[in-house]
Amino acid sequence: MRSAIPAAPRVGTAQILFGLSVAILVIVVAVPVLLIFFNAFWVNGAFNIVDVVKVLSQPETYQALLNSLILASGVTVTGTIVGTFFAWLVTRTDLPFKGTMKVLFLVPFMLPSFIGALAWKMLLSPRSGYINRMFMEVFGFDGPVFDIYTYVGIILVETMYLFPFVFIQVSGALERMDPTLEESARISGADLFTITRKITIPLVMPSILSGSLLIMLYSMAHFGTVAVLGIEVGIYNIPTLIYEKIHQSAGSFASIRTGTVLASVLVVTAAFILWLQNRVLSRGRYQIIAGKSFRPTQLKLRGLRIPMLVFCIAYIGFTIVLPTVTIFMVGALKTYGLPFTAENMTLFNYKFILFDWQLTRDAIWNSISLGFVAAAITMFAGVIISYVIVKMKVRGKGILEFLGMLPFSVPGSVIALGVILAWSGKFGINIYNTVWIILVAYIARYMAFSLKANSAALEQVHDSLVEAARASGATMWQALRDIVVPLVRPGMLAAFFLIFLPALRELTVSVLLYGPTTRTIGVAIYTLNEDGETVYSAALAGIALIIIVFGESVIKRLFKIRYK
Amino acid sequence: MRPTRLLSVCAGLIVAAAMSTNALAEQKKLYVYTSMKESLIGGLKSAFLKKHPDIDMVHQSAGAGKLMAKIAAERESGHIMADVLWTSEVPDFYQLKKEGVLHPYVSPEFKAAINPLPDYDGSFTAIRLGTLGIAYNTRYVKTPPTAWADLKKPAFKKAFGVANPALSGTSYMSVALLSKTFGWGFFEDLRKNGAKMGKGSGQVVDDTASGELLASLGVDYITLDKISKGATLGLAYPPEVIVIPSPAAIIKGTEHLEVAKLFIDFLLSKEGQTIIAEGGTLPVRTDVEVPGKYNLPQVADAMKRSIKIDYPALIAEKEATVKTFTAIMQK
Amino acid sequence: MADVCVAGLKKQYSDKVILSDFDLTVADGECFTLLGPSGCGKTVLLRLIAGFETPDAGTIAIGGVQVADAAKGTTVPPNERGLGMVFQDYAVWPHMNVLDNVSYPLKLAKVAADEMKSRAMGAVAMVGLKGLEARLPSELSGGQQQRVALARALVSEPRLLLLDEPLNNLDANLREEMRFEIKALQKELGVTVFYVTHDQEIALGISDRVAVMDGTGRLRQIGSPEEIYERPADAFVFSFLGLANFLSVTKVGDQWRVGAKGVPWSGALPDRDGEQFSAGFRPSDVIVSRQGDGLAGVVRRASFLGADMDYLIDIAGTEIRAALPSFDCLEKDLMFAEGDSCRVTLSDVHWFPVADGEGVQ
Repeated sequence: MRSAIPAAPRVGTAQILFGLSVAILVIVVAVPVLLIFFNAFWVNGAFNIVDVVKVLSQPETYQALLNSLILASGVTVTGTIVGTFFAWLVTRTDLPFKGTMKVLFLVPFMLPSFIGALAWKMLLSPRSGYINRMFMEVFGFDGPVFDIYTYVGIILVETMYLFPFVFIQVSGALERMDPTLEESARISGADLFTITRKITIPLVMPSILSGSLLIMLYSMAHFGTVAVLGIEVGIYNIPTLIYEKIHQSAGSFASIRTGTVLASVLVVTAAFILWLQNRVLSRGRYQIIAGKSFRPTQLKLRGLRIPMLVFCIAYIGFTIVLPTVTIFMVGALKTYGLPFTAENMTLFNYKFILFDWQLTRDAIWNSISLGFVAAAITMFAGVIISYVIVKMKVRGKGILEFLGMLPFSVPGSVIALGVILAWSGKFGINIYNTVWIILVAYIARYMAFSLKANSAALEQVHDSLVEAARASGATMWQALRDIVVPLVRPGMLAAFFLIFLPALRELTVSVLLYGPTTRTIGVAIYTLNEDGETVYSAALAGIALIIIVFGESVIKRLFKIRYK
Repeated sequence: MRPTRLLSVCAGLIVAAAMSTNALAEQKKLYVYTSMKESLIGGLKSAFLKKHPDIDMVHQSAGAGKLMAKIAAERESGHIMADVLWTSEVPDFYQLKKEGVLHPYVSPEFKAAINPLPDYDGSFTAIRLGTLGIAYNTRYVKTPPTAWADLKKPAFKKAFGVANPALSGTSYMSVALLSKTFGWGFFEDLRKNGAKMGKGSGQVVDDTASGELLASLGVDYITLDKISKGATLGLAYPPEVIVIPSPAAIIKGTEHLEVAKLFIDFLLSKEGQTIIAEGGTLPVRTDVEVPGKYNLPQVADAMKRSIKIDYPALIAEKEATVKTFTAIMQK
Repeated sequence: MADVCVAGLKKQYSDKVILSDFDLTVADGECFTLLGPSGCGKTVLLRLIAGFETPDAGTIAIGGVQVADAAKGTTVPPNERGLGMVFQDYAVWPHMNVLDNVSYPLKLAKVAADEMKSRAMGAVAMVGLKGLEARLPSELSGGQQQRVALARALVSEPRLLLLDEPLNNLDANLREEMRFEIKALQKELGVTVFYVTHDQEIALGISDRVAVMDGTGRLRQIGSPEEIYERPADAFVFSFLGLANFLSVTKVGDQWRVGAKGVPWSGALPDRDGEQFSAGFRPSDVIVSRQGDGLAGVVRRASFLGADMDYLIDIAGTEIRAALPSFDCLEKDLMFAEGDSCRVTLSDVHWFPVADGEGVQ
């Protein structure tokens, strides 16, 4: 009801900001998405649903839809189980080194899953995977112990990198859960198993569900793992089929059309999942979860204490350390397939990639500069838009709220396809094949992160703080500059890094948009792998991991010092 | 204000830097789309740039299928970025020529080269004669295959790979030639023996090097490059050698016509052809020797043993060939 | 300094009319309080004067200058209205220390650095925060933050100081203390103060004049605190200014009777014409005795509150509250128990026409 701005009939700051926000969102997000729907549903100027059904019932598209569903459901189930189990282990038991374990379980978030997939390909290809080979050569197995190029393989690899979604939500909920709820059940005579089943799990269910829906959302729209492990054996999901359509069908109308239909399915599914998640969260937040941290009752693991610790360490070793080491080792091989002996190892690949090869040097520079610029632009645009949404009372704000929600439910491949439709010359602007098209797509893709971080920060800034400035003689702009911006700066910085770090390792969007000089790190790793340059691909992946881990830790440190 | 202002200043600088490099780069740019791998195009590019330091050459290296898709998409959007196209998928060039997309240019160096392509008018010129043999992993395969039929033997059960002809020009050409020579039954037999269709021509060789495959239809220079790096690979040529010319062409309407011509000249020059021969594939110039370190056939010998190519038939049947092959391999 | 003149003001949010046809004048240099229940629109009025809202109809003038005119669609933005303002939640900027908070208005006014410093320090000293100027708001107590807000509002010597329930969030002692300080500062600086509150004690204690507003955004009475308290214009004002009892008194034939049962009324008679009245009185104006003259009543509840005894007495079906000094009760044997009958006389009665008394507790 309150507003910081007089809604004067003349065109004032409020109107300018509002117009700017709408313009940004429309140009960057709405137009591409609308073009996708338009191309999918309009044929020769008329709405046509029959054709859409026809496209969807082609065996190829139908199979991709089915695969997306199979893979996403599989990952959701396994990811939820793994995430919930470890969350329970580090919050509700007397597992040793719980704090460290908790941090370690979050590491997979940092690692790009397509690099993980690459590593698992090296480890578990049926014939040449190091693990399979070890079993066959050392233990005399007849065939491979595990074939990674299967649905199960893809699901397991995705699980390794996506389970933290559930882990974070559930461990948070378990930590904040009021222990009196469990204690009172205990007093009524229930044993721990009954309490867990009857009290704890139902109470934590909303968090579990919300986390698993996030996994599902992510997995539905996930490109990298399926591209590395699935395409080879003909397992396509929606994003990989879109990629295939765009890259191999000579840009014909039919293939673009199939792409847009698939993209529409993806948008609708994503929107549905998000809607479901919202409902789960809004219904599920009973009074159970108090804001403060309590000391929850802990289960004594007794004899299982050490075996459980060993299990956790083994899990982390197997899912984080082993693939990472593999990447670095393979990256140091003279050529793929040689055994890891001293005479076969060299640092040449790393040197070549960092200093000599224009393709990889371009890729590293592209990713860093794209990430930086996209993060900076999105950060500032996000502040303005969130400000209008959270703080201002302008007519037509509803449109803006809707537009602001849009980026949340638009997956990367959809954005990429949309910007191709919008910015490759059909409407006067042709930035196809340039970095700018990737930049525009990144801004659209990461706007959601920025809006989230900035709205959260802005909600903390009470209107009266701005009004106090206005009453002190500050103009709208001065109040923004002196009061709002300094107060939301932590949110802005958070937004910046929430965008910069994922953008560094981005693959899904850029793989659809890259041109001769505009490969990103992700694209370079992926295409090198596709071209059979496995060692270079691994070496670049290794360098990418170093950049990411370095960036992440430097940034964490920076943050801690400034905003303790 | 410090952190955010710092960020915005940096962002500004990066944008400015990106724009200025774009502007600077306008001087003498050359975009080459090629299916040649880094081990071949890399050396050619650095030698070319050394000769012409004022030129800024950019190359997009990918399978022929992807490059054609990219060019098609770019044609749709109204601007083809490529100035020069160089792949091994010969029918594409005939098609592009028919559609008037190519700029004919007969290089002065052409007279020193042999021409395997009928109806030559300079629209595209063979730059190398790619050969394909059987790449095999010497760790597992102790008796090298000597004939194409050897691949039907149990020794290669579930372990022979052919690149996807939709992605790779050489693979497409090879499939077409082998099916013409031996009939589709040949591939049906291979499939019965568990042969697989892989992705790109580089990947099947890499998979062979790693042991994922025991053997694959291997492109000469890709296999030889890996051998020189120490891969446990061998390259065997059956009596019927597959020899595929890789033509290069200038795209019509290019803004960098002169530079494109310079590049074609360079590719056909003695220097360029020597680099190509050193890279492990056959040159088109008769005055360039194939280095003895490779077990490559000499040009004359290869041409004699090569499976003859019926270009008009090839062009007409392109789609059907890919379809039939894919159908067989996915059975 | 400036007077404030509000005329024909109207403000509504979508369908909900908050203020309509509202007139009010605040004299130059006066401390004026707008008193009303929460949600009555008093804060909206303050925000209209401040310029955070624009009126749908009517005009606002400050110091003779029109700052908002709905008919012409003109409005002067808040920063150009020459205001000082203190908010309910203090609104002290958390990222600035005390001195930076206080000097900010001067900085915007482009006051020279040394003058700015000395004036800000002066304001800090004036509100008794000397020595704390380098502290961040998070290192201050609520009362101290309120002082920072006050210093900030006053530092640029505004024409008009707007206070929006500034003492609400303070504890009782602090509230009282701050109340006197605000009054003292206002006297010292001579600034026009427009104070909005729902707390009648503050309103009575601080103001030169008080305006009482009802829940629908209408003004019921404007006057000095004494006038308002002693001569309330209607039952609403009377009840809003303190705990109030009402008895309905009706003339039946020649006789005045109380309540539905018609017990005869004793004591002072209505001071005006009419048949039906609501007799309003404060618990402290109730005199209770064991027997003798007066209305008969029954004690329903007796509570010992320390200094006072609080009785709930049923008179002819209406319950009233009576507050008697405890020592009086002890001395005069007036310690009633529940169920005791008693006699009630009233020392001071306000007569309100019956229609007015409706809707009051």
